[in-house]
Formats: sequence, structure tokens, C-alpha cells
Amino acid sequence: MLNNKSRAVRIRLYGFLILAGLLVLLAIFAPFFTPNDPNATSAADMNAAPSARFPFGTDRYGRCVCSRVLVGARTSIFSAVALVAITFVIGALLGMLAGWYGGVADSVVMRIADVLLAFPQMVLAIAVAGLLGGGMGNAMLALGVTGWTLYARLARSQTLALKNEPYVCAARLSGCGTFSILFKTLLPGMLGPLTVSAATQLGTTMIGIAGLSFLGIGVMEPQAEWGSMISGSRAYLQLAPWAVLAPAAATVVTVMVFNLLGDAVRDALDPEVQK
Amino acid sequence: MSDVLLNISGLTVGYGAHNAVADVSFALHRGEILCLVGESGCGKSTLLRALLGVTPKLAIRAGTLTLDGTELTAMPDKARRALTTARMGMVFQSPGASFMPIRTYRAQFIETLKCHGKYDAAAFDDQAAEVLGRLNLPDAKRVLDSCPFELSGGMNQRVALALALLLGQELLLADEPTSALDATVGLQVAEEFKRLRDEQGITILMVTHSLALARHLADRIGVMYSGRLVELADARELLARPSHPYTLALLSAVPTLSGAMPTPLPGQPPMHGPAAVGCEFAPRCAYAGEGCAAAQYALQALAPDHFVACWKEDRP
Amino acid sequence: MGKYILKRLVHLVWILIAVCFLTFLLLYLAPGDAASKKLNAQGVAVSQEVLEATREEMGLNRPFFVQFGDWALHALRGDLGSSYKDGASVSAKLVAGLRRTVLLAFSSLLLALIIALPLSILTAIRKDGILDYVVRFLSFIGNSMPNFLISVLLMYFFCVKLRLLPVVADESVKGLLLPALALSIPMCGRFLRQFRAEILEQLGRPYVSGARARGVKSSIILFRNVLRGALLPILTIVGLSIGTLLGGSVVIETVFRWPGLGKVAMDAITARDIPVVQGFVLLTAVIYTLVNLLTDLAYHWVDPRVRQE
Repeated sequence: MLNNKSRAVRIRLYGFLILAGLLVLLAIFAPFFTPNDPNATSAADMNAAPSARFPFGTDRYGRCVCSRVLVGARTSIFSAVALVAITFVIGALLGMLAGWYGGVADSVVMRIADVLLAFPQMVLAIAVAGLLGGGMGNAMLALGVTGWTLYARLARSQTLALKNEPYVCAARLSGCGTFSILFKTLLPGMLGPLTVSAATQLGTTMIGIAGLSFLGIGVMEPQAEWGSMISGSRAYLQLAPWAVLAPAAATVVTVMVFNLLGDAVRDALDPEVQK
Repeated sequence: MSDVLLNISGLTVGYGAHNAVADVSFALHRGEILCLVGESGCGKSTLLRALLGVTPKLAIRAGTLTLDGTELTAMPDKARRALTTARMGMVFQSPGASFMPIRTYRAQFIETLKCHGKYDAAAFDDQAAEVLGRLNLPDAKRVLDSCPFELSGGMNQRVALALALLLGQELLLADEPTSALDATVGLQVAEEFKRLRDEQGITILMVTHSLALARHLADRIGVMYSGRLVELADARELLARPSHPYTLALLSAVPTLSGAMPTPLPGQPPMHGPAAVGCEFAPRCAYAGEGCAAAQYALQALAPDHFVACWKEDRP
Repeated sequence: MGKYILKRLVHLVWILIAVCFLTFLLLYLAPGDAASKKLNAQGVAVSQEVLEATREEMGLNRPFFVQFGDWALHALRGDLGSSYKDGASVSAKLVAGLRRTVLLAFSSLLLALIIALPLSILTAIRKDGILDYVVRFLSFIGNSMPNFLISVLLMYFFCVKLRLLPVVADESVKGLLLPALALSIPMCGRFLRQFRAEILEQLGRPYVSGARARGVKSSIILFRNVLRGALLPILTIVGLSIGTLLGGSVVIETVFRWPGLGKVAMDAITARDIPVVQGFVLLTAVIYTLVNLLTDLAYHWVDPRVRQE
């Protein structure tokens, strides 16, 4: 897939893949790096400035901000990656089936997608997550309710376009089972644009989950999550700016890395890229 | 008024590192149709664009261009572009694509005329009707109020010619004007070109890969290969007595209705255009010999009006 | 054209019905039935009799589709029920907030367009120049920052540290500036990238080189032709961004305490005041759908190629 892309494009892709991979590794192994217990409160150290003991200072409950940021990486990054993966699989599957079988299946899936897309995504997510009572699972569900439509539409249009290609007809005529055709013949051809969609959505999804947590209907206290940390420490911004700035910086850096990765993936895989 | 409208001497042009056209020289006479033929990528379209001088990044590296006595290559860019766009009309391969698809021709005509200071509000409708009528488009109002996508290919090409007439342009640069049209429509458009030459004395420099079109229209034919002019002669002369090995190959490669099988030319043209030394055609040439790799390019006169760039004596 | 409008209106009607249905279903998200939720929202301790009475009063013993039909018909007439918390008319609450949200949204859209349009034109025609790199860099950063983050940071720097602007937003220019800015920055980042892409796409079309060959001045090529061609896609992009505006307003209004739709919704969510949440979702969905329909119709109106279908 990458053969005729320039060296620069490939270097960028691998570079950001490695960078994103490092972030993910950091997230996985975060608990081993934390200087202090992220959940340990301390009345004596509330809103303390950064020091040797608390590299990023403490928050309003005296918890180590640095540790919470590290552990929050796990929550923020994993939930985003997981959500994108799940919506990708469900959406792509539904889209392929809709495109392949056409008729009623196609109408039903696409109509449902149309209706879900009539709601502004964040509005619906806020309502759903809020009414379900918050929490990471509910936040992911709320965002996922509309998230799959992107992949479904893309997969469907790709399937429709490729359905009548000679190589697909050949597979059908040679007696391959439907699922074998779908996954071994059709899917590889669509994987490029689908992957690009998924990669470019990583940053947006992270921001979405952080936003819901900020509003108090996503990941909730005392679990560490960057959005809820910013929200919680907001009132003490003047006293202890580090409690907001540290998770803020972490969020921005991580989203930037994922956005850059998304761009690099798009430049590498998208056949229509013009620079 | 001199007989020579456009004089091209030693012209070398290119994009970036390589040259696309090298050391091309010929004089275009008033009222003649000169067809440049050759394979795709031989630089003929690039030459046309270099004459107009509006393509960004296309630079004239050497040589001179003289339009009606004025030396274009000595002028500053902006002044030169103003002169060339006013005096030379370009007709593109894709009919209608050179105009904005969702605006009417009327709006775009007026826009162009205004940029050249040639717009007369009161007289426009009559002038346009007259010019369009001359090109077999009698329903001027309908044509002007249409957008390019609403008209057929043949009509769009004629509209392009109409604008050239409105601007009073005496020189037309046509880049494969009939390639994108059906055979019959293409012939009609070719006839329009002929009539423009016959009735208005308009000079036409046409680029085409169709030898049939050249045979039909041209007064003179120039053959280009890999950025160089390899043969230039009166049309009938060239077709009856082709001299350059490439011209010979080109003519034998054309399928004819008489049933004779065409002889394909093996190999591919060079990737990067004209080289500094050596004949670019040598690798594919049936007559290539010892000195071809080191030969310097030069057009030699076979006859008063027949020039060939081949130093070998032993070709037919 | 008429046929197309008709087709779209029919589509609109059935989409709105489905939207109503889904919004109605929001009621069933939280555990427990509507009556207990209402009483909980009012903070009233429930006994079985009160619960039963409230159920009867709310018509919860009727079949599902009767309840839905009743709710939908009321909604059609503009009556979105009463708030669980204080019994006030939901529609009244929403309309009061709508005006302020529209003000905020309109200001931020204007701000984003004022910044993005000229800059995207400049960065397109001077592609890969210094301005292009700087703008792309800045818009990339703006796009990578969540709007709540921008709000908090803006508030910190301008209100707390520099004390230039009021902390609580009001309707003056000073009061509206920060919320509008916070809402517009991510949008601006997206616009800069997408408008530039559309303009570049037009610049690569053959009519541009054709016009240059005819000697048409660059400024005329740009403003009368290229921008005309890019106008429709740009219009579509702006229309689609209304959704982000509506969603983003919830966050911005919460941070800056701007009493618009978003704040009403957020307060309702915290108080589990379901009718208000339903009203909010329905209202925003209707607005979003109508805006998209208008954009689509405008597209078909302006592009003569499509009009002929």
C-alpha cells in the first residue's frame, strides 16, 4: 500500500506511529512511574507548588498532580482508542453488509444513520451520558451512538463502488462464501480510507471524552482523567494553576500527537492526497 | 508589414531542472497554418505555453521570441504577458474547460474584454452576434446566456474562437483542439480554423498528434521529437518526401483504410527531454550509426523550404 | 427544482418524526420510571400513594405509543411539557436561553469567518510560503485544544491574571468577547484548513489557467471566479459547523456562566430534569436539521448544473 509514496511520507508515518506507540506504552506502564499514589489525599499539602516530592504540585485535595496526570493518561488514551476501535468495527461491518445486500438492510441501516446524524453529536452525547448518570462506560456509549455512522457510510460507499469490480465478481463466481468475499476480497481494498478515517478520529474522540468528563458526566472523581482534573481544579486556578496546567498540557500534547498521526496516516494511505 | 508574424529563434524552455524544449527555431508567416506534430510528451504543448508566457514556473532559458517586430524575450514579464494575451489567442484541448463552468459566457467575455480595454457596452451584443454568426452559432443570445456545461464540445470550441475574434487576435495557438471531439464534430471545428485563415487572414499555430488533421489543415508541418524540431517543411512536401527517420517512422505507424498494416516504432521517447549532446532519436532510429551519439543538433536545409535535423547522408 | 424541494421536505418530515421518537426515548435511559424521577428532581420523599398519584397524573399508565403521540403532538404545538424541578414551562425556559445562545453562536461564527476567510485565501494563493506555515501551525494547535481548555485558559489569562475582562459574561462586547473567542477558535482552525483546501481545489481547475491565458487579471480570477466556485462548498462547511456550535455552547456557557441553552441543559442534566433535557435535544436537532436543509437547498439553487436535474 505504501510502495509509491515518497520516503518523506513514510518517515512521517512511522515516526508518529512510534510516538503514539510510546504514549500508549506510557499509559500502560504509568502506574509504575508515578512518584506518589495518585489517589492519596493529604490535608497538609493542599494546593502545594511543584517541588521535588510533587513534580507538578498538588491539587485541592493534596493529591500529586504528576501521578494523576500519568494515571489519567491510561484513562484518556485507552478510552479513546477503545471507542474508535469499537465504533470502527461495528460501523464498518454494518456499512459493508448494507452495501453488499442492498435493499431493506441498506435502507434500514442508512435511515438509522441519517436520524442519528440529525442530532449534533455532542448534544446527543451530553444528553445520553448525563441521563445515564455519567461514568466512563456511559460516556463511551454516548459518543459511540453516533460515532459508528462515519465508518458505516464510508464502508457502504466503498462496498458499492467495489461490488461490481471484476475481481469481486470472479470471487463470487468461483463459489466463495459471502463472508469470505467480504473479508478477504472486499475489505482489503477498503482498508485504506477506513483506516484514515479512524486515525483522524482519534484526536476528536479524545477531546469528546475529555469534554464529557469536564462537564462531570464522563469519567468521574476520584478516577483520574485529564478533563475532569481540569474541571475540578478550575476553581483554584489562581491558587494552584499547576493543577490545571499540567493535565491541560498533557491533553494538548497527546491530541496533537494523535492528530499528527492521523494526518500522516492519511498522507500515506489516501490515494487522492494532493499536497 | 513584414510577412513574418512570429519569429522563434533558438528557443529553450523548461520547468525545474530539465528542459522540455531545446533550440527550436522557425518563423511563422502571416496567414499560414503551421501544425506541430509528434508523440505525446515531445514538448509541442509546452512550446505553445512558453509562447504565451503565462504558465507559472515555465521559464524561457535561451533564445528569442519576436512578435511582429517586438522582441518579447527582452520585455519585462508583466508587459510581455499583457502583450501576448492581447495578441495571441489560445484554444485548449478540452472544450469549455478553460472557462468557468458555472458562469455565463456573456459574463466571462465581458470580463476578458474589460481586462484588455476592449469592452464597448453599447456595441457588445452586436459585435458578439456578428462574430458568433461567422462561426455558425446564429443564436447568439442563447449562447451568451449559457454556461459552458450547457453547450456541446463543438459549440464550446467555436465560442472560444469567437472570443479570439472579438479580441481582434491575429494569432491563434491551438493545443490539440479537436482531440476531445467526435470525428465529425472535430472536422467541423477544423473547418472553422480553415475559414478563419481564409476569410480573416488569421495565423494559426496548431499542435496535434493527428497526422490526418495536419494533412487536412496545414500549410507547413513541423515534426518534434523529445523537445527538438527534427523536420520542418511545406505540408505536401513533407508528406510526399519525408526525410527525418522519425518522420518516416511516424508516417508508417499511422493505420490507413487501404489495408496496409502500420509499422509500430519500438522503444520509448526519452524521459527527460532533450539532451545536450547527441541525437535523442538514435536509440530507436533504423539508420543510426557511429556519430549519432555525439552529433550536435542542427537543422539543415534539404531544399529551400525543407529543413531536417539529421546529419546522416544515407537515408532515403 | 420544485421537485427537489418537495423531496427534501418529505425527507425532513420523517426525519423529524424519528428525531422526536428518539428524543422521547431519552426518558427511559435512567433507571426508574418518570414519576419517581420527577419526584426525585423535586427532592420530595416518595411514598407509594404519592407515586401512584403522580403516575396517574402524568399519564404513565397509558400505552407507550399513546404517551409518545401525546408528547409529540404537544411538541408540535410548541408545548414541551413542564420542568420536573419547578413545574415551569420547558419551552419558556428554552426560548429564554435560545436568544442568548444564538447571540453567542452568531458572534463566534462571525469572528471565525472574519479571521478564517481572508487568511485561507492568502494561504492558498501563497501556498507553502511563510504565512502558510505559520497559519497552518497555529490552526493545528487551535484544532488540537478542546474548547473547554481554551475557555479555562482564556479566562485565566484575561480575567484573572490581566484583569482585562469580566469573569461572568454579559451582553456587552467585553462580556461576549471571551466566550465567543473560546467557541470560535477550534472552529476557526477547522475553517482555515478546509476553506484553504477548497480554494486550492478551485485554483487547480482548468478555468484558472484558461483565464490566465486570456489575460484576465489575477484579482478578478480570484474574486469573481475562484471564490465563486469555492463558495458553495464553503457554505456547506459553515452549515455543518452549526452542530459543533450548538454542542460547544454547552461547555462554553458552563465555564463563562452564560445563561443560554447550554447552561439550561447542563443544569437540567445535573438535576435530572428530563423534560428540559428532552426539549433541549429536540430543539437543537430541529435547528441543526433545518440549517442543513437550507444549506442544501441553497447549494442546489446557486449551482446551475444541479438546477437542471
